[in-house]
Amino acid sequence: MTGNYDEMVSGKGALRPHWRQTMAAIWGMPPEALREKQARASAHLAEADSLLAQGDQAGQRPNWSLDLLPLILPESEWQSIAAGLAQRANLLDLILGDIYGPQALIHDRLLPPYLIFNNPGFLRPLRNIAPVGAAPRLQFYAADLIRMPEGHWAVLADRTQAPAGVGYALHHRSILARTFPEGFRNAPVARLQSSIDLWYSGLRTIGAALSPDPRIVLLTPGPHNSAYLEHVLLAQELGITLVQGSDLTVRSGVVYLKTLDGLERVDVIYRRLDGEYCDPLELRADSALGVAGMIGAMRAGNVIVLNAPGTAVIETPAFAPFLPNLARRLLGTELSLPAVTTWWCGQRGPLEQVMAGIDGFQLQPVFDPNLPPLSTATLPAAEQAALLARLRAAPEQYVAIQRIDPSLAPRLGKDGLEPRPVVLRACVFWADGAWHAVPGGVGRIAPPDHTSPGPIDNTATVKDVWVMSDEPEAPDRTGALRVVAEGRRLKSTLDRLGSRTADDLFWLGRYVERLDYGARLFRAVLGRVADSNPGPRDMAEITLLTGTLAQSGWIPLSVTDIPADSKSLAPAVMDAVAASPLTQSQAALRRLGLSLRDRLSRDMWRTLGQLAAAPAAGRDIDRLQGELNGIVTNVATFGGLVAENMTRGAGWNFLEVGRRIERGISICGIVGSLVSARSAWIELSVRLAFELCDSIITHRKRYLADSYSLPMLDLVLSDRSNPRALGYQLGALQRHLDALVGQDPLAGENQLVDRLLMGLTDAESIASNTIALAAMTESMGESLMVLSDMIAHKFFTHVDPARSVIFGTRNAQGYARGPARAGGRAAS
Amino acid sequence: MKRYTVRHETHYQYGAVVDHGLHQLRLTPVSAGRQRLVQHAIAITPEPDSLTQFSDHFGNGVHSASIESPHQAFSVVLQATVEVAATDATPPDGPAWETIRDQMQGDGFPTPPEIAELTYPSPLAQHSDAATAYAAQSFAPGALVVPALRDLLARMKADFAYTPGVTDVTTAVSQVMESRAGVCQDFAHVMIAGLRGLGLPARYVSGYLRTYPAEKDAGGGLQGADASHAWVSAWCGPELGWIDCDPTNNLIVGDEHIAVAHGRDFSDVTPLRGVIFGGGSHGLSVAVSVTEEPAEPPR
Repeated sequence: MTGNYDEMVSGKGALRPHWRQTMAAIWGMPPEALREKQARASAHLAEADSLLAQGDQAGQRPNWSLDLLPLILPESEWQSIAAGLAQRANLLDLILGDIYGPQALIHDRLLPPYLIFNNPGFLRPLRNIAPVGAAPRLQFYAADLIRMPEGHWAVLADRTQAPAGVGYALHHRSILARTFPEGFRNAPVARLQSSIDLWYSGLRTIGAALSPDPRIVLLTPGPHNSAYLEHVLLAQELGITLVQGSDLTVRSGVVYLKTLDGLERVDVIYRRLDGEYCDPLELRADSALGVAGMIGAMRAGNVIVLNAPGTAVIETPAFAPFLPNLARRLLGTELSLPAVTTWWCGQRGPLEQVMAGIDGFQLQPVFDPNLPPLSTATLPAAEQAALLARLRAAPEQYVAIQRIDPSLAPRLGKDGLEPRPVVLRACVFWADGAWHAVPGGVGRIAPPDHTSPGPIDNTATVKDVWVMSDEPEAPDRTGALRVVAEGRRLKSTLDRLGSRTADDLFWLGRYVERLDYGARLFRAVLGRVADSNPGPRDMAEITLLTGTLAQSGWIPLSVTDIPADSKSLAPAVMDAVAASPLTQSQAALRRLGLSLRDRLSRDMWRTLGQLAAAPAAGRDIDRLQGELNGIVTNVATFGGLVAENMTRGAGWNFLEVGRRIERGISICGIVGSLVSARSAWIELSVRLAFELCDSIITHRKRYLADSYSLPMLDLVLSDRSNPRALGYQLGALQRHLDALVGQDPLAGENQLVDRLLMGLTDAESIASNTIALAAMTESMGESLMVLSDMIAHKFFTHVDPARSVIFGTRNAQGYARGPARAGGRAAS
Repeated sequence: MKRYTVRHETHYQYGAVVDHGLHQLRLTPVSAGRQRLVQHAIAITPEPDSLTQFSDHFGNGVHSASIESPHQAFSVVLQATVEVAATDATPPDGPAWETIRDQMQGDGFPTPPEIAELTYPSPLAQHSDAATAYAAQSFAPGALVVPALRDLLARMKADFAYTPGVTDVTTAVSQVMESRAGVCQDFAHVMIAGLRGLGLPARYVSGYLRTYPAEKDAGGGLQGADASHAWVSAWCGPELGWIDCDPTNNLIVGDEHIAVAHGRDFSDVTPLRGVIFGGGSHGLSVAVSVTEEPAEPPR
């Protein structure tokens, strides 16, 4: 192969010097060790990605892998790339300042109006909003770079909206540090951490225009976004609060974070949400991801949004041919980093030039750089003609980018090193008055047919990027900064709990217990109906259990009409499992787990993943039983992790309140339903209640007998030492509420729990009266639901969905859309 | 010179309590060109917790109001006094329409560049082959722009039925081209899409029309006078500038129209746009009156 530049090997076949150390480490290991390391690196990547695998993006990147071999660049070369990117970022920010300000560049015919005014990235409400203080509009910019056959790097695409890259780079680096430590040994690889520290201090300096101790948040579209992993990682590394639009509210032109302690002012929004979704009041009215009033808060100078919404206007490659002129005008200098030859076809001269050498170009729609480009050179004849016809009909809608053979970098394949075309994503950020490059980035194996790599999330194979110093690694100067970074991280974990997070944790607790309740009841029924020849006692128990399930709405009433010894009962129960709140609870757990990803430990996350895995379809009783057992065990594991691994903060309290309320409701339901059955079956009912409430062993220890009577229900009702008893749940609720609402005896929540505990002590007097017991448990279950509502109302009312209203030009033609929040609140 | 008092009331009744409402109002009549805003007041109930004003990308005056305590009703009352000067009853015929089209093409750099924005499709005036072909029938090769506009207005009046209720605020141009029915907003969008399809700049104007209460039912008044109105501003070259055309009433706008806001289409000039938290279902009532005053206030 001739055209391509080889990253690792020079024209004379010699290893380039900056690759020597790394390749010595690679060649020093046996092939099987390398393969194992490679597999481990990709497995680490997949594990982190599994948070997406459960969501809407499941299966979107089946072949996502991290190559063990990094892309290595010598420091001197990197310095010139960094300087070129800094210059370019500076230029782009000045152009943005003009586009959203005086528009002199349009007036002076340096920028075609089409590229601004027909550009969906141009957000009109942002016009004439000047940034606060010294903040730039563009604070953070990434470029996709490609190495030309002649050996120099050139810009292929500008990414100015909210480009991903740094979070991934940090992630890849930490994976390689674990799987390929040999590569770092004595190798002077530039560290990323000091960039992150500088980045953070830069954000604080920008925010200082609004507050001496600015609050900075990272605004993400949420777990369903393909770059959510990047958002979580970056927020953690920067030590700033990760928020979704619904966590924020605007009051009188000021942006606030909703916390349990009330509203807290936000000074800097680090935006990872596409600009047009930022504010349903002024931008896309159907956006459920933004914050109504955010643009107004920017206009009032009360918040700094980085990058400002609207920066995406400059992402179109069509700007490229105009940039050299603009650099002369705005910077008084030439661009030091060249761009791949690019033409906007909306002018006759460039169009003719493109037509003359059409096979040397790839064509892209002017405003959608993420669509795959097309080239006449690689299309079948029929499609070639169609493409050319479209180009001639509306040339202004196309950009032509010169086709380049990217440089080749070695990838560790099955049979050793394979040369693959590579594209480099590099990131620069603005801090303390200057642009800085993150010394590294993401290397991507380019698709074979075209050079334009599209968004980073679509990439299959990624590489870490190492900037290799020409001199041996200087002594670690980052020690002091690390202390700062640790303190920052500590601060962010102690951050006040957001209302949405508290809400999510509360419901996480409720759904985990609800799943437990369903699994226990279903497995009790299935264990009995599986028996092909049930005895009278089994049949009575089946009737009792299906009755309990039906009463709490877990199976249709029709199932209780099927005789307990009928062959059709087992299939009916199994069908009911699939349609029951069991699967709904699992769906809710998936959603909550995603939303709480940054709050849960790795182990909790993994356990939740197993809990939320939908039961296999089919009618295999044994298999279903196994899955139900798995749920019960995983709920126990989850409970153990909550007990042993969670910091005792408000978040823990909410999770526990949710669990205790739900478990209390379950116990009330079970006991209430069982004692209302035939009085002749009372012993069986009590025994079943013990079985479902895991209390048989306790019972045997305490009573040394296998007999069951109504007063013994005390063990699952008023006993405050049995974690499966109602009394225990109420005692726990009392403690958690003390922490959340204080010991105020007048607080409604406290009064309610006190009343319930009082009621339990009276239970002894009615212990032999099934009717009174049933009435008591029913009313207690209802009270617990009221308690749930009270807590929701007290703490989570900020989480209301918004609706957009637009009034028509004519009578009674106003219309409303909504409710707007995607997904909505899970049914309770 | 005519002098009008405009009163535009919007009352909004919510089915459930709204805890927080944010609203943007584009209700400040234009004060430029033939029109002068003499006096202007906007009353909002309940009293907003914050009320700010700014000028948008198109130069329209915008009020931004935030109501942050629970409320079940929301109303906005605009009261304004506006003077409007008469136009030339017969504007010159202007250049051939292709001259304007070619200036706007300009090999990527149109003249004047600032108004090129009004030649591109917009959210509610998307490109429509049907609307373009319809407009083209009035714009024969070499036709002068103003007579061509007059012809288009006359044809639209004849071909489209003024029928309230068959469209809503988001109805697409292509649909109106099929049904040939709608209200002022729809006709404005059709005309805009047609002109832009030919390469001519066109903008949307929201505003009011003088009311003739006695004649309203007798058919003597103009269509669209009992609510806010919409029409089209067409670019007729650097010499003539913008000429306002009312496709609903087949006329070149004189001194009976009061302009409030300009934009690419309705979505840029929505008189009231809001986001509310809570609210349930809602009821809306709108009342507009435009009455002529003596040209000179009584001394």
